[in-house]
Amino acid sequence: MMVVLFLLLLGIFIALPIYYVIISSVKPISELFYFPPRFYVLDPTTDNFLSLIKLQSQSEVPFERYLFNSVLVSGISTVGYVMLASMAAYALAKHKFPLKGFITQAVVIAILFRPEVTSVPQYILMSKVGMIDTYWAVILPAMAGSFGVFLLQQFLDTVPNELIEAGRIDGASEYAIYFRLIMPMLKPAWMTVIIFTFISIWNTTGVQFIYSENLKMLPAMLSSLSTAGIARTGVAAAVAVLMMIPPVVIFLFSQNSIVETMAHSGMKG
Amino acid sequence: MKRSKAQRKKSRAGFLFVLPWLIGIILFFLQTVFKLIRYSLCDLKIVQGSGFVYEKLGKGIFTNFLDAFTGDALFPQKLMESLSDMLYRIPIILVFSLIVAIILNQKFRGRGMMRTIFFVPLLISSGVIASIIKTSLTSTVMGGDSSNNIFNATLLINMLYEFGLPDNLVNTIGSMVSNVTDLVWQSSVQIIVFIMGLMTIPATYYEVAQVEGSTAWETFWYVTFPAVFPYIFVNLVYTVIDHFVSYDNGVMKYIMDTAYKDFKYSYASAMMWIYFFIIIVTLAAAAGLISLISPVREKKKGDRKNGRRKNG
Repeated sequence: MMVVLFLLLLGIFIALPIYYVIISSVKPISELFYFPPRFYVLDPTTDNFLSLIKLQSQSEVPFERYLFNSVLVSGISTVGYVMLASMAAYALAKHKFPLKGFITQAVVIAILFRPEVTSVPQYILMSKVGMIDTYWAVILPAMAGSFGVFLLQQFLDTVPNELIEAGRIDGASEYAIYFRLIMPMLKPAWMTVIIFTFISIWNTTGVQFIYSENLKMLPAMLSSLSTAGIARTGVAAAVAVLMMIPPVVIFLFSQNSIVETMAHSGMKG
Repeated sequence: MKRSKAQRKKSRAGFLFVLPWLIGIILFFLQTVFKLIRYSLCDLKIVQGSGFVYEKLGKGIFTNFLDAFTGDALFPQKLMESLSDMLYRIPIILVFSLIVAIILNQKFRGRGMMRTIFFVPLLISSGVIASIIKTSLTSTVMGGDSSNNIFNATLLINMLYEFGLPDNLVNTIGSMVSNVTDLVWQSSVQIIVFIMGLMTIPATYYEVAQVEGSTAWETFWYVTFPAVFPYIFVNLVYTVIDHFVSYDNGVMKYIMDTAYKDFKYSYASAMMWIYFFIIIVTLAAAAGLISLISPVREKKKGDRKNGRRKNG
């Protein structure tokens, strides 16, 4: 029980800012700037959310369009990335082929290059291939990441080779082994990769690559709404609360399904 | 030894599996890396009308690299600071996140909620939500002090003053709180990775350990630790990289400012390459160190190497 209490204490440190943002989103303007700041609200209101809707309705592009863009881009990149990364990780962990050692090391080194580091050459590259102002400028570089490959590869290292050999002896093709043996076993790992990838793409504005208003993603619109000055503080809190919801839902969903697979499948470990 | 047909087929299948990802990396990642090398070896300028233009450097192609050490007092200094910071931060983060992950992996009431709470920093420590919280909320409410922390202790300190606590106590609590918050906020990915690793340990192992009468301490070292070891390696790599490449890091900030505020792309790329070289050396050293800690890993690795030699 002691440890849980310890955890609870730490949890408070984390939850406090989140709680503060949520509380701020329902504070009326008179309480938002009260000093010292209060951790409770006397007169809760939905004004901030209403004015967010009002501000949004003045924009030329409907809200659904931004949402659609965001879901489309995050969805395609996440699914595509998990496919590519798990295939690559499977080969790197369980196959032998030329240059394998080199590629394995390159995977780790590639984690160093955050998108911001490569953004200038990335832009030049995208403009040369004519992908500026398309979804692809965000989707394709997101698929060329490598932390997921590294994570999946480490996970696959713990999977016994005998299991795969058994599959081969039973006459399964390489693709059957990958889809029917490796992927179900890797589920906790690729669920984790989905969480990481989805969040990072969901959070990107992509404004350096996408200029057309009707192709922009939700974060781009929301951040431009919320950063328009002190008067928008309440709106900003509302925006932050709304933006947090989808990743949390994804996390809860994947957490539950991870626990389920581990409990229901015979192969733990 | 001539390789059999089946072996060749297997090797080809392996290559086919990496191929899609490899193509992506070559097209969208390696190209940018080569561009960054090219930038560092010349002087990249933005010329009105003709976009980015490469200019030859006057004093040999390595001028930018030499400048970083001879002409720039700030760069080596920031580099040393960042390295010494890493030495105490990384062990703390790793041990802390392992402990939290082990607790979160046990069965207790409200576990799902606790896991979600520990996941939240990942969600808002980067990207749009973070920038909204930093720019709009903290700056207006907390007096325009845009520090690195998402949630600085100013708020709490003010509240404690309101309660009428003595100055010393308030300051001590304040610095403690901001340190702990910092630590917790930087351990989110590591905790999730450890939880994933812990979930792969079959419950039967623990049952056996219990039947054999092992203490909790022994169970940790003989069951949990070996099983979770590959993820310690994953997390070590991630933590080292995250420490060096996060925007709060002094060197990274300096490089980014050189590139995007002073528009010296070439000098920034040269510094970046030096910096990355140092990170890679650090990573290699850390990986070497951690393989010393674990006899289990060492043995396994040795076996696998022998196997590889036999086959290849």
